[in-house]
Amino acid sequence: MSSNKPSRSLNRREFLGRVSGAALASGAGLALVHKGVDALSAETKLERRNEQSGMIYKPFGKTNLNVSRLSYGCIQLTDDRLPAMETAIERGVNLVHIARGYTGGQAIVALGKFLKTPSNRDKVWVALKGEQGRGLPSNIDDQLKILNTDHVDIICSPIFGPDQIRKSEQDVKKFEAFQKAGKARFLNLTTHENVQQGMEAGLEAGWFTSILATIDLGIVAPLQPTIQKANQQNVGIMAMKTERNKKAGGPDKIAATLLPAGVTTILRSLTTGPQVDTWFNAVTKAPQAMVALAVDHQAAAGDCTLCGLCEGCPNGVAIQSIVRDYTYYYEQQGLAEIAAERYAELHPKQTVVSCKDCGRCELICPMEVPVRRIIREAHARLSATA
Amino acid sequence: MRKFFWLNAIVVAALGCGRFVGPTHQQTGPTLQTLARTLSAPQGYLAARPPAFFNRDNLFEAIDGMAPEYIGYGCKALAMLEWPPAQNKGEKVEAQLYDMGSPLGAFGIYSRAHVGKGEFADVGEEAAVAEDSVEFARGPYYVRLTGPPEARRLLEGLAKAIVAKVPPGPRPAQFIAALPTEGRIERSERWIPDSAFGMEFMRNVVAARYRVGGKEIELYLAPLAGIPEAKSALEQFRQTVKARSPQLTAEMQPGFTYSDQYLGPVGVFQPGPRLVVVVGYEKNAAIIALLQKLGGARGAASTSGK
Repeated sequence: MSSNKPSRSLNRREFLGRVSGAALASGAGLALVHKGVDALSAETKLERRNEQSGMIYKPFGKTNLNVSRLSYGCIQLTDDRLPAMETAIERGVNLVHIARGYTGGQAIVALGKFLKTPSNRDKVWVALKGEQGRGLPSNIDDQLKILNTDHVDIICSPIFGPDQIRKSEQDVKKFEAFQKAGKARFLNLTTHENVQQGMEAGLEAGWFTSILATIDLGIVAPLQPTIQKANQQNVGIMAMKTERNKKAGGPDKIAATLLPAGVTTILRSLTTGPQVDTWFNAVTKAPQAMVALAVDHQAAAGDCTLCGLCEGCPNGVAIQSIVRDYTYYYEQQGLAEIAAERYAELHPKQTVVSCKDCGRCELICPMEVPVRRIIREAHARLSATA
Repeated sequence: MRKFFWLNAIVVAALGCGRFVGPTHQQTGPTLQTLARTLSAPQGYLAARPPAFFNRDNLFEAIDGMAPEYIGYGCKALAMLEWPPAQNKGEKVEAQLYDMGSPLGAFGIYSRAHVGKGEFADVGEEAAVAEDSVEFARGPYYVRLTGPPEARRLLEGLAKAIVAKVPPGPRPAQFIAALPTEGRIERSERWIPDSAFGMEFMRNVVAARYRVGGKEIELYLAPLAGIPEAKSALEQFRQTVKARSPQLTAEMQPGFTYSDQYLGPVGVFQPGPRLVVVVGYEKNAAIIALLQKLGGARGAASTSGK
């Protein structure tokens, strides 16, 4: 859900203050979770499931689950598409991702039909996502019943940016209860917008054994330092919405770029057999060793990819909101009135009025977006229209 | 001169063809922007902030990974509104207005979750209601309204206000006019744009549930370009099923039946330039008669277990 307010990232002091405050408040619980997670990675052997020849596997961070490099997203699953999911599993996929609301509620029912067979449940690990904007539910018994299982392996706490990390704090407590009751094993952070900052916040928090994030060809290069940090902290990375930047390349290029960049597994919703084949081939042919990426200037120069690196302007300019609203609503869509309405929601101090022309935003932008020109034009045109 | 004349004729013809290539949708009602900005707050709720708009490129920001599905049904844009409660207590009322590009797209995305099950209200052509939501299709728009349970009446009132602003589109039954009416279960009509049964050629599929011969079945109809294409599609379907379940239960010309572990017995037939799939298939007179209306299931079953 897009916020009409410009997002404000936490500075390091604020973030650590909140994290330590939360730790003091729930002390033993969080310490237990963190200690439990660390103890897990040290003492637990690698878990293997449904390993088929041809598919490639990698440990999913601290979970020690040896996951397939391609995982299955149930977001478009219906009963009649179960054969495609089964094909993916036959090819060695061993991680599936589900949420209650997918396909109007049909997906979780369909997955439940598959999992009803005990041998099928033993082939896959199940990641269950909480509801966007509402975090984890307090009770997942109804969802477990639909899924015909007594537990999920990974439960995903979703946020839209680092400001929402507080919601994940609450989710940690819920996760503890699920874990104690044997209903969930590992906690994942799922982040959509402001991906880099969301991931950084999640890594700082230290609560998560894995992160599911929107990672496509437009963002992976500037995101690689964060991905590598995750790798160093043994936090697994699952990439979703990998085809968002379609003009930059298809499955082969996506897999060949994301996997060597440090992504553990690519999550795809696949509704037909040929789609399964295409992604199986892409993932298994991709180079597996880690390599440093160069920013593809030709493909993305000047295009904002919402990486969020420009946030934190020392003078308080709401850069990402202005750039996105101006370039998208005003320039691309021609919706001047709407762009102006959104611009009018900003405090004057969040506009170019506060800009000191330091150029930090342009120095830090990996896509060479001409930020200062854009925020000046936005002010000139959108203020007048408003 | 003659060459110039024919060149001109070819150009004009090409331009004329180009103008009419592909499906078109005449926008006779309000635009999404107008519709979103002219909605009043429900009683007891405060005026909304300006709506947030999304298009295909950033739809995922609003509805996460469901975006590809909505785009597959033709979604062009989404407007989201929120009305906070006036007393600052309780949940807000939210509206999601999807411009699906056509009444068919709106009906399709609405129908995927509402197939005769659940509670319905007489709002517009039809609205699905739950404790905290009202959903409906009207013209090219699919609308989802959510709020606290106590706001249910307000949600219905809001739905009626939206319906009043948008001219009606075809009734759902018109979208599936190709399917027989006899025995059809009310409000079970569906439209699936692509990949029904995980088959890439199963596009633009219409479906409905039927009660015939004491049995409930679901009928799917997929148009193909012509009879050769339909025959090829039938064979592809057969080979795909055989690869997973080598024991086809019976072969009927033109078609076959098999048993799916999740769907149960399924019949696949090819009446002319179409594929018809029957989930819950049973060889009884009523079902055969239904299929014969579509021109399918001619001929007796041959030996089983190929």
